[in-house]
Amino acid sequence: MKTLQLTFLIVVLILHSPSVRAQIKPLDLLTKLDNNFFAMDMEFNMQMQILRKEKVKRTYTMKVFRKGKKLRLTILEPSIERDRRILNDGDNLWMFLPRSSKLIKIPYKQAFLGGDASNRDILRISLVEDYDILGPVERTEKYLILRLKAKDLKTAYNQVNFYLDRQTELPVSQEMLSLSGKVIKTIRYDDFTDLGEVLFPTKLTILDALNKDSKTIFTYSEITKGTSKQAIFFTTALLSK
Amino acid sequence: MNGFVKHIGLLLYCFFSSILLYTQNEFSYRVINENVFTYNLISEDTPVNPDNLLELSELETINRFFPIGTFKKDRLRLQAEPRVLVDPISENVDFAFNELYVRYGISEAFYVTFGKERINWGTGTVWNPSNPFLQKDPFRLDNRLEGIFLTNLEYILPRLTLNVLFAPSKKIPASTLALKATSTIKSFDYSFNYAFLGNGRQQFACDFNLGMDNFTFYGEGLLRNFSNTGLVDPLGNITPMSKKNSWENVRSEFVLGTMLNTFIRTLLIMEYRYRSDFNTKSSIAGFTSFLPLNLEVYDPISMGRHSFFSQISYTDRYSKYNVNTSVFFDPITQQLLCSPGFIYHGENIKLEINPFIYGNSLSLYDIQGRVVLSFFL
Repeated sequence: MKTLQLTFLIVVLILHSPSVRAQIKPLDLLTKLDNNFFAMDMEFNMQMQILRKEKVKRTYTMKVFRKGKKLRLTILEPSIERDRRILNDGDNLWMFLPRSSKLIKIPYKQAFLGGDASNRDILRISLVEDYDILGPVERTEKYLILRLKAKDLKTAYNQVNFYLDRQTELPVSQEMLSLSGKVIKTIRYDDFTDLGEVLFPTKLTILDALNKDSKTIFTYSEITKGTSKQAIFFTTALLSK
Repeated sequence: MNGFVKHIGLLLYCFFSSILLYTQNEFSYRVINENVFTYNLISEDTPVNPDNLLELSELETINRFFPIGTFKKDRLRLQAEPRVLVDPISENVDFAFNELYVRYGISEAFYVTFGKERINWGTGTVWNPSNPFLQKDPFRLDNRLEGIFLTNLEYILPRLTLNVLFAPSKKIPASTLALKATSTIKSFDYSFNYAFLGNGRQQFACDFNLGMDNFTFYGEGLLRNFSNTGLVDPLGNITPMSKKNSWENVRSEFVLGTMLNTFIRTLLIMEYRYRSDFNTKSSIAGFTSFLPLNLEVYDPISMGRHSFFSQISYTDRYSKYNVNTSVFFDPITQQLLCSPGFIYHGENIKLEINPFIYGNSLSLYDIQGRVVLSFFL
């Protein structure tokens, strides 16, 4: 009888051990992040504030359209930059300059409007396409940690660590690491809003580890899930129209 | 003729403005005021302008106003960009339209445009030989250029865009007809165009642009049956432009360039231009000895076969300050132009300061200094 009880206890302990209990597949988690955030079709207004010592130095307001692998944005404010447009057509990044009616192709790794983020950080389309998964999902008391490694040198950061809420699986923060494994930037996700089936973070704060006085805050508003824009809207020909 | 066009333009502007304001769906406007102050340190020993024969001023100032309006209703769009130039020194006021066109979307993919529009073909930063319509101002690349009167038919597919442009002239044979097809393969974009520029002048051109993470590489080239370079013969005399344009004497021109993201906020642009209808070292020597009689073919940037441009610029974290340096160099004529620049971007104000330092005997000025103060509403 004692042996039976011991066996039962061992089985219960094994079943409740972290390695056996309801394993979360990292790819499922990554796909969920893509579907609910990075690759979701949507329209929204985005305010970008660049701060130094908690003082706003520059503010941009933009209208953003995202569909499939494509993203297009138009700068609404400040007046000096109004009507400048940027298109990520999945393969290239384009900027339309209304002053000269010129369309130029720009590199992905250039700073996005001078802030702490690169164009690729902001105009990202898919995590699944950019990163490989580094091992299983780790659990801590508060977080699920998803470690990702860049598929190639094209991506802005060699490694990315996602911290997700253990209960809700919503993103809490994201660390971007250099080749040497040092954290270069951190993104914090806050102020989630209900978009029907998903909760969407409406505030992103980018902290630059190399410039601790500086940060960039993105605030999303007037969010619409899905977009009525046709595929043609995301072409260079229509970017100038 | 110009006055007539201006009046017609103004009438059209008022007419469409009132109709579209009344029935507007979407109206946006902006007013840009640019105030340009230029100081010229005129070369005294230059053969181009001995003893200031051209009567150039030491100080030039001009105020430019661009009240730009865009009206959209369903598939109809009216774009108007009038230009008012005020020269406070000579007390001249000049009014014209940079752009004034109506565009109608027959479908989601098919657009027709009538009126005056800027056509910005080509991938080059400074030189766009494949663009038969407009060339940039190399001294200020983001100058608002004056468009041309045309009818533009555009058919857009996800990976292919077709354009047919017709720019009429007083006589039909002198009119311009241009066709262009643009496509893309992954991060490689390319286009082909053909233009009949009137009076038998024709050109075939293509361009490409390859976009990578840290740089872009672009180019454009053309073959044409005429020359648009101001040529001089070995004795220094101006070669008259041939009236009969034929393919027996094909001219070529091409541009290659790259935009390199050296650091996250530092951008390096390098561009090279080649042209087959160039001035030789000896012809330029002859040209110099005959100056200023043959001044009409003078090009302050480059007169030879090879032209180089490079620009390095740094923008601060808040996109408020930009420091840059542009250099033009022609190894045949040894023409060198160096222009360091400083730009301040406020919320509604922009300040540009550019000295121009000329490094050869073929320039009009030893040094130029330009300040542009712009206001945006």
